[in-house]
Amino acid sequence: MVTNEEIRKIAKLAKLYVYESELEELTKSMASIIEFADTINNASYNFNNTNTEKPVNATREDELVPSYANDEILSNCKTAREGFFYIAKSVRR
Amino acid sequence: MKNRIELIRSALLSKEISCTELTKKYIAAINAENKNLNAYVLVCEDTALTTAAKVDKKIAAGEKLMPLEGIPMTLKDNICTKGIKTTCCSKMLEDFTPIYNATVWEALNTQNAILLGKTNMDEFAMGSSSETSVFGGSLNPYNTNYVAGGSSGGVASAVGGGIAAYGLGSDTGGSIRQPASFCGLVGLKPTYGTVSRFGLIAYASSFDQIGPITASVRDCAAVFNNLSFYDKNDATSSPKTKKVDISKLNADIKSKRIGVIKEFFTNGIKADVKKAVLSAIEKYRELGAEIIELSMPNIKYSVPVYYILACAEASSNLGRYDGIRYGYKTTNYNDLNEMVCKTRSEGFGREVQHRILLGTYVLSSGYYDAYYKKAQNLRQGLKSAFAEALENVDAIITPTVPSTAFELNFSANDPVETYMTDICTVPANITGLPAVSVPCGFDDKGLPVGVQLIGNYFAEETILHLAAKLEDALAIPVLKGVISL
Repeated sequence: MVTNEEIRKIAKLAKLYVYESELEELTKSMASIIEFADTINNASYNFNNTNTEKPVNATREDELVPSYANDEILSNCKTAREGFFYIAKSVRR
Repeated sequence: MKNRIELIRSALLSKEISCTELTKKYIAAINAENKNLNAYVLVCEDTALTTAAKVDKKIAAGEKLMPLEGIPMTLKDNICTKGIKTTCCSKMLEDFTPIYNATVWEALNTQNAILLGKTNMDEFAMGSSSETSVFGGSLNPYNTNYVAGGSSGGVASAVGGGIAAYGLGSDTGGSIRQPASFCGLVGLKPTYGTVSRFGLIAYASSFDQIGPITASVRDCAAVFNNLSFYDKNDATSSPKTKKVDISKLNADIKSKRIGVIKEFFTNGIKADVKKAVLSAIEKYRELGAEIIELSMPNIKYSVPVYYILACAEASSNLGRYDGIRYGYKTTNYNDLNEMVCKTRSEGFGREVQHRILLGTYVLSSGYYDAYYKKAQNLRQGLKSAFAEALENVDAIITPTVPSTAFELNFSANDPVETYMTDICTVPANITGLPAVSVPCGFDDKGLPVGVQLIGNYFAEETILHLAAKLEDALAIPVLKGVISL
């Protein structure tokens, strides 16, 4: 059974805020979805790898190719400064 | 006349109508109808008319037109269009303007396809009714008390309502086929790797596939042929891609073998849907195909397998939305972590947050083996089961959806009940096989029923051939288009 504490932990990992007022309802909803996901643990599987499409690695030469202009790259950024993405300070003394 | 592309093309070439006049008619129809359908979230009138003028110039000069040149169409709003907003119908991307074109749009734009606008969808393609869109849901052109389906609901609403000749959607768990089924249209999810995903905003990368929603099977084949090619920009693009020979769609189907998975016809299927699909199977028998019963006991696990794996991939793919480089950014915060968390919590809607949480849960320490790893093993098991079945049959027939279109707000009731409606469509995404939905009748409320044909890898021609024969035999009319030439 999923607990409020687990949902808090998962939300922290997912970088989402869960407000206390929503926690009960969210835990209940997530519990029903996880109970549903749990049904796969009843499945037995035996299979032979017959004629299924296998993924193939796509590799390319490590060479320089044209890229986008600096101003294009920054065109969707809300807080660009002097040609860079600007973010809040993350390291403090 | 269901083959809109052929009809429009011949009208343009015979100068019955100019491309500019045609485009203006469509724009006028969108302006009149969109308030009822909520299909479009952006109308590109200026771009459409500029392109139409180019097409008219070519026609006047007697130049040859490319296959989809001058045909008015639409794109789901998760397909990147350079210089034109692409929002994924989310607050997170409400003012995002791509700096490049998706490969599919690049291919069509090069042909002077007329982009009428961008269409509505569930937020980040997560939903089955398009009601998780920040713009509200798209409505069903057959009856606006019902949804158009999802997640490519806007494309289906526009094509079904006659305010686009065709459209491109994306299908991660049925998002092309289900709305096509709900709106009486043809929807194709091609083989994984056949159509480039470059420029498609990612939901679950090992499932996502772009494909057409059209009024007829022949329109579907014509659009598919212009999308299916190898693309070096998509690492999963396949060099084995094949085109469909449209002339072969008329051939008889006497030597064809069609499998019926019995588990799809037991619990949970609505009586009207079962009746229409069984009639379609009977029609195939009359046309000379051999019908073979199949059993796949593990098929019932396909929905939880899909949701575990798709949500795991989504939790990773949507990690990029942090407010730094593009997308919504919160205004009040004290440090980087708070900025990222507040941005994501304010920018994503409820369904998207639920799927990110489920994905994070199944990938987290202690649960990985029980959910993610087990689901990956079952995915391989389902692939093997379909591969074995397709050694003996040319295609597998199923209902597209166990029900017809949902009433408005149905999805709000119980998420698991809504997820289970994907039971018939998710296996093609889990396996990567191609699948097409084609109309096969109506329920007692007059809402369309669709039947699905699943084929072998790269066998789009086989399933479209079978779909075309059913379409011809049943002769179900598409809703009268707003534009009739």
